[in-house]
Amino acid sequence: MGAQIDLNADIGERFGHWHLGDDVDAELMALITSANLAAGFHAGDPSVIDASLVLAQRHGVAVGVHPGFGDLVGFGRRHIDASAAELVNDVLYQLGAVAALAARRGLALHHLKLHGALFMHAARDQPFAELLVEALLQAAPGLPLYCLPDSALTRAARTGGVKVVREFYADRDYSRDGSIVFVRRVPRLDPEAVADKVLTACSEGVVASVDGERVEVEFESICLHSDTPGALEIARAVHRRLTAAGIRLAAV
Amino acid sequence: MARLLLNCDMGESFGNWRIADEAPAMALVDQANLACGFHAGDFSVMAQSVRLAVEHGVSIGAHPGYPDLQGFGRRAMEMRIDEVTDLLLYQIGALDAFCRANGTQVDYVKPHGALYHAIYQRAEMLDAALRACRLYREGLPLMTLAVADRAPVLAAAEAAGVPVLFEAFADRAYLADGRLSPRSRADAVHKDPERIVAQALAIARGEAFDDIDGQPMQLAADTLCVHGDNPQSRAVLARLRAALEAQ
Repeated sequence: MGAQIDLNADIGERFGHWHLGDDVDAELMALITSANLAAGFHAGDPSVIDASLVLAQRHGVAVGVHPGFGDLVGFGRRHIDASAAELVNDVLYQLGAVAALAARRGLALHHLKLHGALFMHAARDQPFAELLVEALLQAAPGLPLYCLPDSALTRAARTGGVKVVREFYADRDYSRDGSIVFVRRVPRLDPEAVADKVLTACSEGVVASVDGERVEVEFESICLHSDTPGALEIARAVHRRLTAAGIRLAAV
Repeated sequence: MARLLLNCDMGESFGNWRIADEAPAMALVDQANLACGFHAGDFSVMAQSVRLAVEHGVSIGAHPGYPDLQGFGRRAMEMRIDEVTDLLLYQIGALDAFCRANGTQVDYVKPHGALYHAIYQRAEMLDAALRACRLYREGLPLMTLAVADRAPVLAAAEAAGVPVLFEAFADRAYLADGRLSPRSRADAVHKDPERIVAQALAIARGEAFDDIDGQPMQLAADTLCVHGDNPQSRAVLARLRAALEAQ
């Protein structure tokens, strides 16, 4: 692991007059180096997206598009049994929308990261992963993909020659095999313990699994889930710890 | 004369986005106006809100709005008059299905936001709303703003064969004609609990209170719209309830 790492979070998950919990976007934006902007299908309306772009610009944060399933009620967390072709169109549609709003602010998209159930679908479903990579090579050549390491999308991207940014999940537990223990509701975590875990992962390339094993991890970006309880405190602790250790925070 | 009732807009969460816990306010109101999915409230929120209202013995009203989640139904939309009737029927029917599943029914219809305002501002919109109520069920009342001159509303309602519930506001300043003062004016919303309770009691007793220009005005109403989405508004709500019950 080099002495530089990216810190990403999902941003702009409001919709109309609704916002999530404490809505710490403005504070988070000061700490992260890349932001995944909800693109309207599971959260984020056009004015929310634009507000997030302006905020990202002010803080010099790289902006990525965060496409999800078309499911506002379910917040993109429920799988929808759509064909690979339909889903690729959904992704391109959302990418185009955020890219247009970004261009108006003089910003170019830095990356694409799928959201929620669509992220998991691309990690598992090889036909979708391959069709998506093929489409992105045409529609957005050179756009990096934030992926789950060792996933269908990572493999398809590598085969297609698309740059992959692998993530480390600061606020999730790891299994012995290096996979993430996915939970519906994340408990309130100790920010300092998360910071310890992140620093160890960055400097030694290992993480302690839930059953106490040392598991090797390779990644270029740290993902902080903005809806984890106490997300802001976690982000502050991680930022403080990495900076103190001389690790430079910068987008990939 | 019946006590002035208290009604509150509720069921305004949507999916992952949650509005504050509504149970405390539900314990204090007589009527719950439940969002029907178009401007707020998804199917699960509707089901939960109906159950909560039934548990507290609160009368349920449909609170239909324009199909505008993003704008929370607060933006005026251009719509044909026949579409407005269909828009209302659709949402009343949807909420009533949840009511029936819980052994109750929609007791009245109170349109939401920009649609609410259009109904007391334009006669053809009032007619469209009255038509929806009459088509849905005989005797289903429409809740609308208690304006100073009720005669045109009552005439239209009588022609349509629909009962009307007139609604007043204790925390809003009024213009002389009984319309709500626009929120763009700094003094449009009363913040002082004393003033809110005093205005409520004046309306309950049929006495005069000050309009936004300090002139005396009188409004007759059947129900008072209240808010209960934060501790401050709930404290005022509890005081209002006690004051009205002491009448």
